Amino acid sequence: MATSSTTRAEPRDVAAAPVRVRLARWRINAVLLICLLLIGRIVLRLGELQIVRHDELREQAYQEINRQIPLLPTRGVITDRLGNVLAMDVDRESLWVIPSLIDQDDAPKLALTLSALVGKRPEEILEALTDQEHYWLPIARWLDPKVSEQIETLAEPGLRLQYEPRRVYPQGSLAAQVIGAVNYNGDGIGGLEGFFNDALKGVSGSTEGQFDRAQKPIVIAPSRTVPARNGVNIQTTLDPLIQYVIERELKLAVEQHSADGGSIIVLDPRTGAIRGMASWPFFDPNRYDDFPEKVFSSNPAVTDVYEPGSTFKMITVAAGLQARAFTADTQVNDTGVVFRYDQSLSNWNSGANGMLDPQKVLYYSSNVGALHLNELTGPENFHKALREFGFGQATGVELGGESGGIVNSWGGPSFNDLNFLTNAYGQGISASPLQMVQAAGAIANDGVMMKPYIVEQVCEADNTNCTPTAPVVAGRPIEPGVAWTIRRMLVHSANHYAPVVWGPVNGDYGDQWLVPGYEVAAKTGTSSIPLDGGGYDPSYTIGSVLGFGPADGAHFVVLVKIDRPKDDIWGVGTAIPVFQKVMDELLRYERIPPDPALVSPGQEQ
Amino acid sequence: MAVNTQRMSPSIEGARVRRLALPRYLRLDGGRFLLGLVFILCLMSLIVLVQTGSVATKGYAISALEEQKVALTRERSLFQERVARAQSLERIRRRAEQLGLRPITKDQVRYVDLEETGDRGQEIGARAPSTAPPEEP
Repeated sequence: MATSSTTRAEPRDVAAAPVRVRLARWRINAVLLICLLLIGRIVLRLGELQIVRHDELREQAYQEINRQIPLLPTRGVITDRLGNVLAMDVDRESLWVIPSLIDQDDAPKLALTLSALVGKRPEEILEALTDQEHYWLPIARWLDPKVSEQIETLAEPGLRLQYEPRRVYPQGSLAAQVIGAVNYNGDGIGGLEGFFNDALKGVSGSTEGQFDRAQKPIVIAPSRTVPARNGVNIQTTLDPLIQYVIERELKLAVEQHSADGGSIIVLDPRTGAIRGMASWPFFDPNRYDDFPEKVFSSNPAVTDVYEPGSTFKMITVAAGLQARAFTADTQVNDTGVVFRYDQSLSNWNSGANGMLDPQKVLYYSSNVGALHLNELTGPENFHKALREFGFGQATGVELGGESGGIVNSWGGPSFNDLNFLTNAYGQGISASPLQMVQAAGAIANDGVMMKPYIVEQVCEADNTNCTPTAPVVAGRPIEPGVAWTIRRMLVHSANHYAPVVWGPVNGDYGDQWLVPGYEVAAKTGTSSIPLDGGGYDPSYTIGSVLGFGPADGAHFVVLVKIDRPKDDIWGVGTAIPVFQKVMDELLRYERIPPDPALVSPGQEQ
Repeated sequence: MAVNTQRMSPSIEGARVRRLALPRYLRLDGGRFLLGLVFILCLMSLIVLVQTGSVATKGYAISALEEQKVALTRERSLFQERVARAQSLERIRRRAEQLGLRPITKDQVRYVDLEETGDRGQEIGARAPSTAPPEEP
């Protein structure tokens, strides 16, 4: 004990010991009391927050930070056969306004400024800027990036720019009816956009987790993400140059003849691939709602039907030859007018052509001759052939709203004998332009009819895992020999109408090569237009040409159809120049060398 | 043996005393375990705090990168759109006309059937065959 006290005493001797301050006991107690009170308050508050209001506050917190944010898929791209983009999604900024944040004194001035930028009426914008009933109002959607930049420089607190996906058609109206459009809800309307809407649209995903005020995910919190699946990419069979050429020629023809409309289709008969498809009037899918619904929601080349007129005579001849009802040498007497079932049936000019074989029936486009041939064929064989050529049923092309046409089939309730006879020259029967092209394709392709298709391949969003469309044989309605025979007949028919194009050029109005350097097969037609109340339109017709080239080993089947031309009711005058120009360009584009022996005098250029 | 009998200075002596007294302060008995536990808990908390901070920082970096990715994707799609518009044949035709180009006429086209002539032509970059007689060795 003594040692200990000595040890403790030593420092006191050598160093100054801290001065011990004795606080009054009550002061310590007071501080402790205050601390206890504070701690008690904290404990009470904690108890209230953690226990009493636990459920309510937890719910509130979850609502604030727990979010399910949708992940929108990107709509697939549509391209032509060379990969040029026809339709794609682009994010564009849309302009919104929060009226409560707008200085109402400056609103008129701001409305004028915005009006100049977004191209809307100032009154309309001012109404949105001064609307105090809504928190958030749209002003303009999908602004041009330059306009968005200009709006941003205004630094107006009440204006908000928000990105939205916008469907863009960079080629404008090119192939618009085939491509279709996308409405404001992002759904396809018409064309491929409508037919493949679900596949193009993709599947939405979502992220479920905790987010801060800036919508940024709080990474340390658990989250669950279901990624969006982007839409598929579709490559079409359309050739950009062919599409461009047929649209250009169709527009020129419609304007030249003040026609109401028209269609041109180009199909590869070897595969059934549609290389071009155009119908007037065109529309720009970027602003589809500026056009009538009928224009942007239908594709007349597929959805509309017409009475094919004399172009159908090639089917009439094919049906008879295939059924062995007559041969290429069989003669029928064209008297110009015949009477059947108390009706007078006549040629276009009621003129007689005398004894005609099937080639001359096509050459003179004789209605009476075709009628006689059909009588030889008989209704059973004729309608069997129609069925095998695909009439009365949709082709199955990947385009919405396709029409199957109207055929009063033999044995059916609507069949009648007179109708059967007029069918011989394309009256009393309706077909879509695509059906006519498909049928002519069988003649061009040695009797093998290919199913038309417009989709070359469908690929996953990252352009991997592509599924190409395999050409499908739709039928073999005629034998190769029959097809060859009809092709020879159609070459003469085409050359018979060549003077319409070449007469004014070389002064020769006799038969000559329609497309110099090539053998081209074609048949013209002038279709009467049925009226709703019965009978036919006495004033207007549809002029058309259906043909293919080269005649042997054809690469293209082309249909040109001009609706209700005002200056010429005959298909020869309206459609054959267009057909000639289109076919000439196509054959050269396909790099098929012309044969110098197939050039008539005065056709050299 | 010489002995230094001089007294040490008071400050050095004080330090020595304090050093000698130090173990007394560290003698915590059961308290040392408590302190150890607190230290370990603090260390663990610190690790968690540093880790969480690091994750949060990286999370915001990821978020920023994703925003950048979206912005770049948007920019790319705008360029794709411009490219697609530039591929329009109508635009190409107008541009070609501005440059003074004209469509080829039929008489300007020459077709050469290489298979029939048997002449496969000269490959690009290959030397033209010499027409001069071979030199004497």
